[in-house]
Amino acid sequence: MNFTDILRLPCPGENDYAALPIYMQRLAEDIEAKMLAQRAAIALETNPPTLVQLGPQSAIGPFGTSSIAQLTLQNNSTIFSNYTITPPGSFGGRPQLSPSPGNTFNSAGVWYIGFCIIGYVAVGAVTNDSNRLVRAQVGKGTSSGTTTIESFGRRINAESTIATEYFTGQTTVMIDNEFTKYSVDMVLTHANAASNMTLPANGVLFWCTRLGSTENIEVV
Amino acid sequence: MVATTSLGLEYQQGTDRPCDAPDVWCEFTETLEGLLLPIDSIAGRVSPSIPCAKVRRTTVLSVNDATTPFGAPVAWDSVVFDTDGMVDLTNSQFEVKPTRSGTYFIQANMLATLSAANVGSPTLNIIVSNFSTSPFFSSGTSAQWLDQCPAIDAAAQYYYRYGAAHIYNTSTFTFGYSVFVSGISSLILTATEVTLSVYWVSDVV
Repeated sequence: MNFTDILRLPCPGENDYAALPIYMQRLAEDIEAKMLAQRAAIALETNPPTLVQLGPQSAIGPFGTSSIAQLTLQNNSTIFSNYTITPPGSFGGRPQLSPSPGNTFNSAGVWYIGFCIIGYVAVGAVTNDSNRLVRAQVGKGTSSGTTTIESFGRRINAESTIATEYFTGQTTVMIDNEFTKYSVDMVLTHANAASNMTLPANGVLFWCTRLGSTENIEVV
Repeated sequence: MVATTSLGLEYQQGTDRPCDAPDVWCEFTETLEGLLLPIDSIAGRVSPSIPCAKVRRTTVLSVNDATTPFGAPVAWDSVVFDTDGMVDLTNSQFEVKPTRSGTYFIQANMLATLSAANVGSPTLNIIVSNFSTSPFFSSGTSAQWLDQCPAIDAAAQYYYRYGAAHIYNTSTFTFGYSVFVSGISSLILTATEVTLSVYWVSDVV
């Protein structure tokens, strides 16, 4: 049995006539493996890791001006995802919006992330010009705590005649090879002293998708 | 006679001697390896990157609406990432200029405060035009996108953000994407962080 120099594709020697069918089978299987690997590499580009979630399935709150509502979306909030996280952590390998490190991103590179708050509601009266804040932070855990990598969100002041507000935010973030140390911390606060605020069931839409690596483009 | 495919892969024909099969086979695998290796190389180039860049300013930017009523361009401090040579802070501190034509998604964020409470709206603008003229956003042919948010609480941090899709043509566009910000009613807008992301989405066909 002989082999090519680089890919180690098999070809028979002069003493191998009797084994030609076996060698042909091995060659076919090797070629198939190489082509499947190439197809997988190209598929990664055309089908990037993507997560879309709508939730939580239960309302958050009502909560007052001194409270901070923490947003976490779990498996039952996932509309679409095509990747898993490794190690699987506490969610069985399924990615999600989570303030705990390692639950959202599965690889290094540039990611596009965003959110939409679909109705941030006052349960009663509205204090004129009182603020509502939605803030999302992508953080990285370090030995001395969590470092904020990106911070984005929206702060608005509500008119007294308006009881429901909508928020959006989006950004890009560079995730390095320690992607298991990254988290997404999204919180709601408000200053509506006249009544408490609530986020209805399925009141937040969250998404993230990997755009690509940060390597320089090569000219073919 | 041993025959070959158009790509040079050898195979035997009915008139060839069976004892020559090993040689033909080995020629076949050598040629096949030569064909597969460039595909590996191309796949490796395709998979990692698209044109994308992000710039950031964390040096405090103060814009006095009384002296610069049309706002001020953001000079970027640093490059967060740039896969396609779109940022050259040495020659232009203001631009992210694509080198490949196509559809781009552009997105800017700003964290800023206003010196006093006001019902007016400071503005975050993304533009594709010449910011060296004044007012630099006056051209009717320039693409411009903006976000406004009333800063009613004095000295409170407000987020401004905008994202849009845009078709960029490198052969006809002179300027890249840039950001300028403006305050309101003679008050000082203080931006503590501004970012601009630009990434390629598709060719235009």
